[in-house]
Amino acid sequence: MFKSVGCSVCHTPTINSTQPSGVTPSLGGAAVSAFSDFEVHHMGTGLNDNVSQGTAGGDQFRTAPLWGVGQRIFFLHDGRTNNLLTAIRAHASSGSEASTVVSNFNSLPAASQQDVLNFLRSL
Amino acid sequence: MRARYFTLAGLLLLSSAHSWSAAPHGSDPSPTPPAKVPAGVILVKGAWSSASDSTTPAPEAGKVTSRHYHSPYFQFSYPLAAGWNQKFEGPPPSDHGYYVLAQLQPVEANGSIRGSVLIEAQDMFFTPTPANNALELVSYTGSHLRADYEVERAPTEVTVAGRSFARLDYVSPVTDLHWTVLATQIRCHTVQFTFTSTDPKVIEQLVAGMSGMSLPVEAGVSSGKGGGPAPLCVKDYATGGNVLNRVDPILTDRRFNSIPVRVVIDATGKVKYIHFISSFPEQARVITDALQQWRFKPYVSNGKALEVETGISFGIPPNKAVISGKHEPQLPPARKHDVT
Repeated sequence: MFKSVGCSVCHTPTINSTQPSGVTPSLGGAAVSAFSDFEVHHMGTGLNDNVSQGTAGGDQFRTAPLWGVGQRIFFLHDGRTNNLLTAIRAHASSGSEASTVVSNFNSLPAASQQDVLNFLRSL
Repeated sequence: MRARYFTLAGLLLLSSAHSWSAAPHGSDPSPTPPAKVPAGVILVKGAWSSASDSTTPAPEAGKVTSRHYHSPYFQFSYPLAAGWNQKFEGPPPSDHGYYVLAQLQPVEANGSIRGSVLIEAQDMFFTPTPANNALELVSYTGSHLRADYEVERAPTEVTVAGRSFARLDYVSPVTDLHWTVLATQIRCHTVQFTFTSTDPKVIEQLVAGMSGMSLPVEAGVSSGKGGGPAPLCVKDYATGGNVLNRVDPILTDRRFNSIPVRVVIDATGKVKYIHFISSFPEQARVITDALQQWRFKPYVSNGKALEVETGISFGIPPNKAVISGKHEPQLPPARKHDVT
């Protein structure tokens, strides 16, 4: 469901693996399920903080890895919320690349939205 | 963190300076409240679109009104279904020439009708997809869907509002979300309508509403190469023997972006108009200075010299471009694409 809605376009479950390791071979070449594409995206006026770093503008952020998101207390770049649903919906605003995906999420029945939240809490 | 610290320090200094200069001589010396950065406004922009003049229509300059979406650049109008409107504007054009022209949704967010309409455009001069026209682009999408989706209707050519479109329908069995994609080509862009809903009937109603569109004569799945009131668009015209005089811009700043540019060349071979799809302001200035010195062999058709529109890429090639930015102290830009 997380993939079908479109979350995984940016929060890509696995994009690569660890380097080969001679110290702990069992960890070498292991898939890293970071749930991020590590790209910088426009996140719109809602999340914009007007702080520029590097070549990223005030509304551009590198996709936050969701690995461990189920253990976190506060969400988004400034920790503005402790509500995962609020955090998802904050991805939609003017100028955001994620507005359509949030619209897909909002189109789901409540039970399916809960499934997405349960999945995120399990990470 | 350092950039963030200095930015905040700069804002404090600016607000302090403003307080001093605003106090008239001999008046109450109490300082004016420091100016706040307004919420919901992007003051600090990254790479963005711009143009050499503000009167020539640009692809991203379409408008949604209460009744329709109209694009002066593409010369089409799409009538909005009753109860639908745009809540959020799209992001700026990407450095691959991808535009979100409009994103529509039901005004009543929790009503019985749920779904979205996404109107997009892909500049075919800069697409990373191996496709030469709208039909090929939709076919590629259909044949490269991820395993989470199932094709309901393979890419086929259909007629909408008297013009040919490529249509693709697919579904996510897990979420029961349905997608219908309809695309045509205008001015060497694939203009695409993507309808999404859990209710296929809603999608069919939206598709039926497209019959009220007005489209330019050139629109078609493999035509759409300008002409009429628009200049002809010719891929890679600014190459080889067509370029009589070329002055390369010197980009001095440390940037890692690609800069796709569309130029209109007049009948005498001079650059008439420049549209920066994605660039920083200083890059646009330097490239404009260079392009104004370029001279082209006039494009001739049936013995007549014509205006022509083409694309040129500056900066880092798209497949090597990296946007450095926030939250990356452990990931220097140069390493990003080293990992294979």
